[in-house]
Formats: sequence, C-alpha cells, structure tokens
Amino acid sequence: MLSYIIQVICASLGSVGFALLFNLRRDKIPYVTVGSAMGYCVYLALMHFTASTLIANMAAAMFCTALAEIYARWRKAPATLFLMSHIMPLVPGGSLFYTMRSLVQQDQGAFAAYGADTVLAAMGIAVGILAVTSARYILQSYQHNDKGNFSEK
Amino acid sequence: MNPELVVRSALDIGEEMLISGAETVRVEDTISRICHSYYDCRVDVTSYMNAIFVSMDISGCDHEEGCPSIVTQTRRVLSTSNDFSVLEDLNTLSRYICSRHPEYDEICERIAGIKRETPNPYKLLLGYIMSAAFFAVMFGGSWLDALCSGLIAVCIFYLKKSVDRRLDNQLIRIFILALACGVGACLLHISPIPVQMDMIMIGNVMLLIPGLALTNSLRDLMTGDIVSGTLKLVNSLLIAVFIACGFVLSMMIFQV
Repeated sequence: MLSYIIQVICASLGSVGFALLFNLRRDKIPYVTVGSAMGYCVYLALMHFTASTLIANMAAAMFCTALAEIYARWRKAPATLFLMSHIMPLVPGGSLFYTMRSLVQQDQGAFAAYGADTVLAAMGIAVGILAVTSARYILQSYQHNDKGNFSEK
Repeated sequence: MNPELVVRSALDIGEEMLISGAETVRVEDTISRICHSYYDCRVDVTSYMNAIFVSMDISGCDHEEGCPSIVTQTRRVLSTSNDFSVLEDLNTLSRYICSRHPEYDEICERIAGIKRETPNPYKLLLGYIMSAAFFAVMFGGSWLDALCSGLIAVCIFYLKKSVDRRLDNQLIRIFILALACGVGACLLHISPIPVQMDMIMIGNVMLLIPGLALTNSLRDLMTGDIVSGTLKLVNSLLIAVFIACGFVLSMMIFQV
C-alpha cells in the first residue's frame, strides 16, 4: 500500500515538473497536481483489478480528460493545457524506451513484449481521450445550436 | 479588412499556435474561424505537423475593387515545442479577433506582445529536475536515484541549450543529449555510490522520449488526420530509436 502512495505522489509531482517544463501558468499548477494524482489512482486501481494495460489506460485517460474539460470550463482556458500535464504519468515513455533499446540490442523477445505494451498503452489513452471529447461535442450540440460560437476546447 | 491581410493574420496566429504545441485540429479550427468572422465565404485549411495551407474564396461576397477573389497562402514551420502560456494567450487573442474584428496592425502588435514574454529559465530548470527525479522514484528507484537523476537533468538542461543553438538536425540533437545522459548514468554506476543505473536512466529518458507525441499521433490518426498522425508517429518512433542508440552506445563504452 505504501509503495502505491509513494507512486501516486511521485506521479503527481512529476507531472507538475512537466507542467513547469511546458511553461504552464502558475495559477493552473494546483489543478495539475490534483488531476494527475487522481488519474494515476484510477490507473493503479484498474491495473490491480483487471491487469489489462488497455482498459486501465483508457479509463484513466477518460477520467483525466473529463477533469480537464471541467477545469477548462471553470478556468476559461483550453482543455489541452490541463490534459497534456494530467496524462503525463500514463504516457508510455518508459516502455517506448525499453522497446527501442531491445530493438537496438537485438533482443526480439523483449522487443515484442515491450512493443505490445507501448502500443496498448498509447492506444488506450488515445481512445479514452477521444471518447470523452466526442461525448462533449455531442452534449454541446444539444446545448446550443448557434453558429459562430467559439467552443471552449 | 483586406482579404489578404485576413488570411495573413489568421496564419500568423495559426503558425504561432503550431510552434507552441497546439494540436492540428485546433490550428485548423482557429484559422477557419478567424477567416469566417471577417468574410462569410468558403475557407479551406489544411495543417500538418510542420506546414499550414489556407485558401479563401471570396468571389461570392462584397469586397474592395482590385482584390483577388481567391487568396491562398502557405506557411512552413521549422520547429515545434510546448509553450502553454503562449498557447493560452493565442487562444484568448483568437476569441478577441472573432468578436471584435481588429485591424491588422493591432493583431500584429498583440502577437508580438505574446511572443515577447520568454519563459523564466529557472522555472524550466525546476521542471527538468522535478520530472526526472520524481519519475525515477515512480518507476521504482530510491531517493538517492532521484537525487542523481535530478543532477543529470541539470546537466541536460544546460547541454540542451547549447546544442539547440549549434545544431539544426533534431535527431542528432536528441542523440547527443541521450548519449550524455547515458554517460552520466554509467559514471554514477561505476562510482562507489550505490545507485541503480536503470532507474537514473529512466528518469532522464522521460525528459527526452516522445511518449506524449506518440499518444497524440495516435489521437490524430483516430480523428481522421491521417497525414498529420503518420508524420508525428514516424517522427516520434525515429526519435525513440535515436535515444535508445545514445543510451546503448554509452553502455557499450563503459562495458556495463
């Protein structure tokens, strides 16, 4: 349990690091801290219960995107700003590196295993984001049909 | 405003958005909204990872004598990065343009004002240290590994500055950074300090690896931006291969 707590805290602070690196405004940093920690909690919980990389990443990405959309509405800023920092602990950076390292070291077995992991994680996140974004478009089209409305995205 | 200037100002904003890390959809959407807010006509926008093409056909609406009825302009973007403060300001500016229709000079002035704010270098440095250190722990490293990883991140930050100034090729730049990271991690490994080399490496890899770009490229592919998505996918896989080569080369040099 303690190792999970440490992982969540580190994931959250690591995302704050990336938010600073992306030059996000200081007043938006607290939202990133909370959002990425919660997103990673969702990921860890689903990984624990289902052990499926695809499902865990998809659900966590859906949660992160929904949260980013809510923040975007509330703070009147594009959702991408929050989203990119929220999903930072989920993106398959580590496994992408291990995939390519086993490719260069000619270790076919490890290449296939890490490669599948990378693709599944990236696909899961992409599908999760798209699902929520499309849902928002549909909701928005019901709310107001006026033309020329600059949507909050 | 003159249709040529409308397209030009829309492209100015779109170009800056692409440079500061906006998604393809956002760039296309912003440009077409700005053009539509001045002229109610057909606007075609195509944007890739590093280029924007806009064509506006105003033959159907009233416009000054002597203006061409179809205006087409293109832009080539050489390098992109992530700067969310600029992106946020540009988004606000594009809303302002759509609602108030300012003149070209005012738009230029505002864009120049947004570009003038350079990010605080210490903020970026803190970002490098924090992400390298905490991701090293997240992947299972100890706090000592985090400290070492943070130290290497400081070196990477300053090395990246000088490499970016001197070299044009993105892949070579990233290869040099990865090699430096690997050498740093190997040096710590053969020193008497009890560190896990893999954890130090993975912390710093997170700074360089295009994991986010890979995810975004799949997102582009799934939304239907096949060209943009493919370009980004190939680019991020190439970068990842070069990073791996840098690390493996450093491990071969030190025989670990």
